[in-house]
Amino acid sequence: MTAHRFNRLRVIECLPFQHDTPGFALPLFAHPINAGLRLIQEVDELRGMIADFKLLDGSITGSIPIGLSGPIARIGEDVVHVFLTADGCPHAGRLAELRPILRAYSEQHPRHTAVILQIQELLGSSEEKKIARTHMRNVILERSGAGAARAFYERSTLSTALWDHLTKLAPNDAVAKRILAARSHLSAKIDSSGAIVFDLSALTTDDRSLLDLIKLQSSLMSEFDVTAIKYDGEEDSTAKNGKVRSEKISKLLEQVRYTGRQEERIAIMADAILRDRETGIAALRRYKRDRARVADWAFQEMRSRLQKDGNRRFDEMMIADLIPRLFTQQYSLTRGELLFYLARHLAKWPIINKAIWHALDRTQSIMVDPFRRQTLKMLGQPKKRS
Amino acid sequence: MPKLVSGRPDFRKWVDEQPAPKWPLMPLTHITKGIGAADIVQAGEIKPADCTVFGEPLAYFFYGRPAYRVSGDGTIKVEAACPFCFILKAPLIDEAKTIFAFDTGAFSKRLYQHILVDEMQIEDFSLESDTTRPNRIISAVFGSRRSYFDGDLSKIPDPDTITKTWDFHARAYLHLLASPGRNEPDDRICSIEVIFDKSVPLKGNLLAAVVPHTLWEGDNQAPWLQKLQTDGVSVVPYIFVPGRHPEHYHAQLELAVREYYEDRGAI
Repeated sequence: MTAHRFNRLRVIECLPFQHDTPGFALPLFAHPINAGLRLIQEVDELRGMIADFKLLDGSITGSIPIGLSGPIARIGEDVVHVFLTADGCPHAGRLAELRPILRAYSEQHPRHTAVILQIQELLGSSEEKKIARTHMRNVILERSGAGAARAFYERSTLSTALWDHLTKLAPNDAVAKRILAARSHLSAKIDSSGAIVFDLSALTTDDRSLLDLIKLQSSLMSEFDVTAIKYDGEEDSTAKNGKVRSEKISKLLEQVRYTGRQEERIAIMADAILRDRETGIAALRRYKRDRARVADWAFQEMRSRLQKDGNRRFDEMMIADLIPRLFTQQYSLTRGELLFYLARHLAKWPIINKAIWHALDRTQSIMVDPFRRQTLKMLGQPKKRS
Repeated sequence: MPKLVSGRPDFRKWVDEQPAPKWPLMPLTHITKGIGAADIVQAGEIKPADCTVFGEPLAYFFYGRPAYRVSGDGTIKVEAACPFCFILKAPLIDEAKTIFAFDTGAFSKRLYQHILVDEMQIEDFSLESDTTRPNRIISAVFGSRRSYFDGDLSKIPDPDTITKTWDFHARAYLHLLASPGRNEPDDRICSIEVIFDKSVPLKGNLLAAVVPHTLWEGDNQAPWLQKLQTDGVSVVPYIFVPGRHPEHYHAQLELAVREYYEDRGAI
């Protein structure tokens, strides 16, 4: 049964989109002949006007009466909305009529992010839409994670805005209808540089050529926050990386603690810092005290000299600079072991390799000699500074 | 009263003659309205509801596509005004009572009468419970799961090329898909319908829920949504602004489900 013959109908009920929550509701129109039937308005998407009234299928439960005070809607006129305020009272009317109520609600319930977004989508300026969309994205990010926030903001909201702007930019109804027909294949994304990129391949080349894409880009940029996207998949990966790093730190600390010789503990820690700076430094900071005097001194030196914003080259130079002093600090009988273990773990670092080689070259100690050959073998030819 | 299975074997025979592609099965979708979605999650299952077409309680799903049963005759369902879409694991189809090549609700409303002759019955187009048949149809008719998902009717081959003159049902089906003057307002005609005669538990089956953003309101979010998240279900929000055309919301779901599938290689 169609309802084409009805040009004007009165809103007499509404069906909340969600129970027990203030917000918008679906306006239900009285059937002029059959009191048991309800109709809903169908929107002309190109003009935002009522195109038709459609009979609602199936039983309706949970509707809220509006009574005979509800507005009369007509085909060809503005769409009627119903808004339920916090007191449960339904307000029905066109947007222009509801504007004061919706604005007041937004001001009185600043934490009702989802409804405020709906209101701004219907009434707001570009800037107001941008703020409301960003707030909503942040709420979803906080409660449901990066995946949901991205789906909401970058896929659904951005693509919906794209459809709306494309339709407005269409030079005629025929192009606009083709845009609407293809809309689920028209999408936009924010790339890593913060630019909005479109996929309009579902439109013909002719249709695309009729659209002002610079204006489109500009309109979307004014409505979306593309510079401060914090989720960007990073929250998830940061959390994951954090867990992995924590495991690495624990493993490194375990390795250091279970290494018998202090010379080797120093070398292992230094190598870890050079291989994975963040993990190595974090482990060094957690390793509060070594059981041996020289290692404890070496670790304190490293902690005090490692710079927060340093880099591997700086760290390598710092450790290389530490080697002659470490050699001096070391009990003379075990200096050979010191150079041996440093070479075992650090020979691959050219600047350090050279520092060990110099230390070995300068000493004539007979306590070092038993380790000289093996140490030299590990060091290879003296490495040139990189 | 139409039957869920049996009927003339011709269409099934034609389907079985089509090559079986080596694609995995597609997930199942179930679209409902907000209150219905909350009820489903709270109950932990999608329950069969009385069906006027087959005269018994049944639960309806679609194969891969985020479609919902049409009302027909120019009427509209409440879910069209603010839909929620559940995406369920593909192997669930093994437990289906039967599968149909199209929306049986539209058939019963005689929306296909301009193509299908009166002698053809709903059950003639039943794929029964053979789970290879959906992909056979998709491969033969649409060429790919993506084209099927997109409802891309441009890929439908000329019926003469893939059917014999005596394949009446297969030809009628292909003509139905390609018919420009059909009464149906959208492409749900090409959605393969999956029917259960028992409750479908969400636990272990539900992959994702595409929901309006309004479930995150105020300082809270819908408790049932939290339950889904706790159970490891992906929650995919779409922006819901009232007063739009049902096609707008349907496009939102299609976009969200397509992205979900693409991320997981399902199309």
